[in-house]
Amino acid sequence: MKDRREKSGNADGVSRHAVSQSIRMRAAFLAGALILVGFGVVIGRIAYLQFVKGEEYRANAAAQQLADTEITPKRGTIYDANMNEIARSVTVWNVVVSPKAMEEAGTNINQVAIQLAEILDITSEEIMEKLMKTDSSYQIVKKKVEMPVANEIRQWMSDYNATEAAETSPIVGITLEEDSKRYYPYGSFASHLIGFTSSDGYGLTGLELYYNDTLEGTAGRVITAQTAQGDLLEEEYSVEYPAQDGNSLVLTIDQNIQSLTEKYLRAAVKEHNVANRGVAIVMNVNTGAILAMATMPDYDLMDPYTLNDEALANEINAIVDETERSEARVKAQNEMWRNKAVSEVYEPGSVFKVVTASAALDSGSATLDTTHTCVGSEKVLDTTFRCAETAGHGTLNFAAAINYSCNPYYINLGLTMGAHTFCSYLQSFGFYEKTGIDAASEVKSVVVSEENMGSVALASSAFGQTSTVTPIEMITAFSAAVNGGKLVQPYVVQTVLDSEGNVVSEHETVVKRQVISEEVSETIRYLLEGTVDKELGASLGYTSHNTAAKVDGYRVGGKSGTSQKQSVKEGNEDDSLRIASFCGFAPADDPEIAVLVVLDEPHSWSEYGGSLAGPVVSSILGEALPYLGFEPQYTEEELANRDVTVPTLATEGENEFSKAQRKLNDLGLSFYVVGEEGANVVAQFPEAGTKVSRDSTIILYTGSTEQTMTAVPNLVGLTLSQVQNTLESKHLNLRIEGTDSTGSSVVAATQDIAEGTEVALGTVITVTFHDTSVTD
Amino acid sequence: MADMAKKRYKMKSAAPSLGRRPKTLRGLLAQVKPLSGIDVPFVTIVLVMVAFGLVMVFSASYASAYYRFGDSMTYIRKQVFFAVLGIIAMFIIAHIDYRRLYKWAFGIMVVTVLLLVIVLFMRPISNARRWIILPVGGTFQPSEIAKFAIIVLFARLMTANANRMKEFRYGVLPFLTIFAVVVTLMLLEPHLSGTVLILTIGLTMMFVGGTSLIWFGVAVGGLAAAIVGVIVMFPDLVWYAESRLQYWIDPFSDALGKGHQTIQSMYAISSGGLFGVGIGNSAQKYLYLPEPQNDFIFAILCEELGFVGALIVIFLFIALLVRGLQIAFKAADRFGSLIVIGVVTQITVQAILNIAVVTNTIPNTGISLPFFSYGGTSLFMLLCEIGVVLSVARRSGVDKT
Repeated sequence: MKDRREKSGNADGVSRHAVSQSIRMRAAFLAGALILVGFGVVIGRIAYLQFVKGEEYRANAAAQQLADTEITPKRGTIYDANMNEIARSVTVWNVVVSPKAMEEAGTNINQVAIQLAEILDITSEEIMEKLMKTDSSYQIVKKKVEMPVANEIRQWMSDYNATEAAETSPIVGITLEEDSKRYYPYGSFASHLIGFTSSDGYGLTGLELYYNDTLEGTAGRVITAQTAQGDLLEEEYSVEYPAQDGNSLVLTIDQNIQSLTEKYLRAAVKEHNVANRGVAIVMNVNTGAILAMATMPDYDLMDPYTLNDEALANEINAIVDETERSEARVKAQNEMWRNKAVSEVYEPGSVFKVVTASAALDSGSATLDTTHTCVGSEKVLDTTFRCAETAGHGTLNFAAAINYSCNPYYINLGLTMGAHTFCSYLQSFGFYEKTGIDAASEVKSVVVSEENMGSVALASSAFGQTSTVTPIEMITAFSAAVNGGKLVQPYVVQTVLDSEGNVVSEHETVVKRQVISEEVSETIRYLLEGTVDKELGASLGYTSHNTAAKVDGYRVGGKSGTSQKQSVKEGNEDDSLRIASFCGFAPADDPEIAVLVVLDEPHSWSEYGGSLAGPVVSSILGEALPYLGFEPQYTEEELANRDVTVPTLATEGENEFSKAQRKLNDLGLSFYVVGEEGANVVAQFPEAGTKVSRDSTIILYTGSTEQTMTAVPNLVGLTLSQVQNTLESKHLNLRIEGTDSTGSSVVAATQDIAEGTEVALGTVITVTFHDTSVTD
Repeated sequence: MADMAKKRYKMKSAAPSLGRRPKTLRGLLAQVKPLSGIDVPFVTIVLVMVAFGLVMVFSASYASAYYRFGDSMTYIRKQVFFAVLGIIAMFIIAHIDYRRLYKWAFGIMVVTVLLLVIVLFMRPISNARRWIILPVGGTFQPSEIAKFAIIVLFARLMTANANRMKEFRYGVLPFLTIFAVVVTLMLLEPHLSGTVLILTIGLTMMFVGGTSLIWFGVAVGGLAAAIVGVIVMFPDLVWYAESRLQYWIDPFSDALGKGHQTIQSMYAISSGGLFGVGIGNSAQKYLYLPEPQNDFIFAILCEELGFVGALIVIFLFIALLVRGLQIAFKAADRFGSLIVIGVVTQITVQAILNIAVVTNTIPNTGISLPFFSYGGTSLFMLLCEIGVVLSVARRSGVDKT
């Protein structure tokens, strides 16, 4: 019974209490409060976040969720005129590790450190230090490793991960990140013009800097969803905007001409101990195209931070103070990188007389018949200017004055013309502005303005002192004087190509203005040719002054310059420092190229531009002209003096010696027999194939093949005939360099093999002659 | 109390006759009839929420599971296991007469207190001793049991003293005493959010159970006085509280540290908009929002399903509350009614507090979202409680279809 009563829910502790109205009311009230207040508030809050703050927070969330990876565009290539690659970007790899991933995967980091150290040639401690940073998923171990190294790492990883050991501790977390590196296959080739880039591929100097925007291209992007750990999500979440590779440059620089220019300039800078660097520019006078532009000493574009002057580098390393040391190093580097052809000014000296001469003839203030008597000096107001020829040139006409480079004559030309006319020609020739060449860091020439051009300044400017100009400005003005009077804008980039090789832009010749008349220009050409060509000079009534610049088979004109360095002069310390320069052009009747060579502070047997720089111009023209397709036209005298190739003279059998004799006679060569005359020739010197002068002596050995030796005599200071006699008596051969003038004033300046050196009979001794009467 | 002992409910009478024991499982099922007398609307709401929750746990956890364990299924596998186990337990409990709890109320509380003592000797996890580490593996929080123990014991005391609830001695003192023991033990762990939850549940039950409103007024006054007292005695605490609150008011003041989780949660919610980015498409779950399957699962839900999805979830909770109250109002007795009210209040309050935290409406505390947040024992316990509610519903006069 009790059970039933309980079931009915009346008498027990639970059931006897029914649910009261109070509970219902209070519970209902509570529920209402929870729903209205509790849920109401949070619903409002959700709505606020989603609809009011939505946009802002959504953007923030998106920003953190997206990995924005830049795709580096490939930097354009720099080609020479013949499409040789002078600068190109190659793919390299950065070795990146994720210590975090390694820790999680249980990678043996000791092993990784040891192996990477071996492959990458860095210490394992250095790597270990990075691998210990287990919080990090991005540590760069080494930047810019080349393909073989990258492949070695890949190979090692895949080999290792195939082994049993990899099951418990696989090698993970090593990535090879693509990067690019600038590569200069020719090293120091045209280094000052080309320039180089920073490690992140931005042009720092030269064309790399000037054309950086053209070369660098536009970066692409990959936008990928990523986790908070930076791991990328699946590909479907990524968008790629491809990179636009940089454009390429095709230069006017011709690798062959640049190389030979560098070769001769380097040799001259070394031989003449040029203290403040040398410059050579080869320019097409009609278009302004720069075929070569060299500054010496040059530096290695692959290693641009290493100073090319070891003594200076040691001096800087010896500086104790760290700040001073690094400042000194940066200063030295900047000086080393500076392109002397466009970024430095120099005193052009007598080369500048070409400008004065052009102005005087074109303005009509002088004619070819204008004469002036030089007494060795000229007084203008209170200033006395000396002529290089201290004894005085006597009375000179226009042609003789430019040949002898007579300062008083030019002072007179200037004063007659007047400052206004003179300065307006300086203006026309472009000396008051930059040439606008597309090479980095061109500076302006420093030329006296008309307002400041008093008589003294006018006088000194007229013969090439006072003003300082950039080499590029000088050769550009010089070109205008000889090319028919047109001032062209020099340039180095002929064509811009896009990454597929399509032409983006092509340079067209910019003729700025007609500076002098065609006729005056023709006269200037003629006069300048006369200073080099001794026959033409003779017909003009003077002894050609610049014969050292002659090139056999070609008509060459030119003007030398020797200037006293102003900066030093003002400091009044050492007035012996000179700049020796020469500007030549060819062919003289219809010029194609001009060559300017400037040797700043030579310390040699001469300081004169004609003697030191002239032969360099000659050498450059002598190789460049045939390369450019100009056929040599030899005069009779030149033909007689041309080199011949030594034939093979060894003989066998009876009476064969006469064959060798005949061969030599045909070539105009003489011979000297060591051993029994008439016996078979067993050896010869110089060897077959050697080029020698036509009047050389070939040594024929008929007995022993062993060479007979002799000591080289002193030749310096001897006249040409003395040198010839001395060498002949020693059975040695002569090669003449420098001037081809003869006379008592022409003496040997240098000999290439020092006195006392033991050499084989028949050895060719190269002797440089110069005319001691030439003073500029 | 001696008086009460005599009036103990005789459990044998409530149990179905044990005379005919079924020989087979099929026989057992036929006899038990799992769905007989079950409140269909209530169980439907619960099952929808459990299913919804499982989908969300999978969606929210697969990235972090993959990252931590290399297996996207790690969390969801455990959760499904406990859900199945919990649903079975729910149906079994539904068929057990809830009135047995009346007798066990004190026993359950004693066991709970013991567990709350034992937990203090456990190895701390994240600087707190909240978890009992089971020798068979896994952990559980005694505070989960404590919630239920409080509900059952309070319901019993409120039933026994139904007519004396207005008196301090019966309507306030016993509850304060129980609070004192449980809250002290929980603060020792420390487990502030659990304490807040238990106090809320207890006070709610006192309010519904008939404690005089005067005492609530006194409690509010007393609390205010206590706060003032603490401020006066320990001025340093103000600064401490301020610094804690700072990350609530401006989580961006320490965006990478204390404000990080909150900021990432708000980013997730904001990214959802009206309809969300689609189920499975959350970006914030890729390790931006720490442990997205736990307390902050609602943020991922908002991101993937938007405002509409959030409202659906909230309406499910409201439906659970409303249906729970219907069951309670028609319950066969006061004890059952109060238990149901306690359980649904607990779920509702927990849901509100969780969403409030996720939306940075209140400072960040560790309260999970019932049926949704990952946590096996928690889900299991919850389903057991639902089982008790269903048991009450079986005897309730409410329309069960």
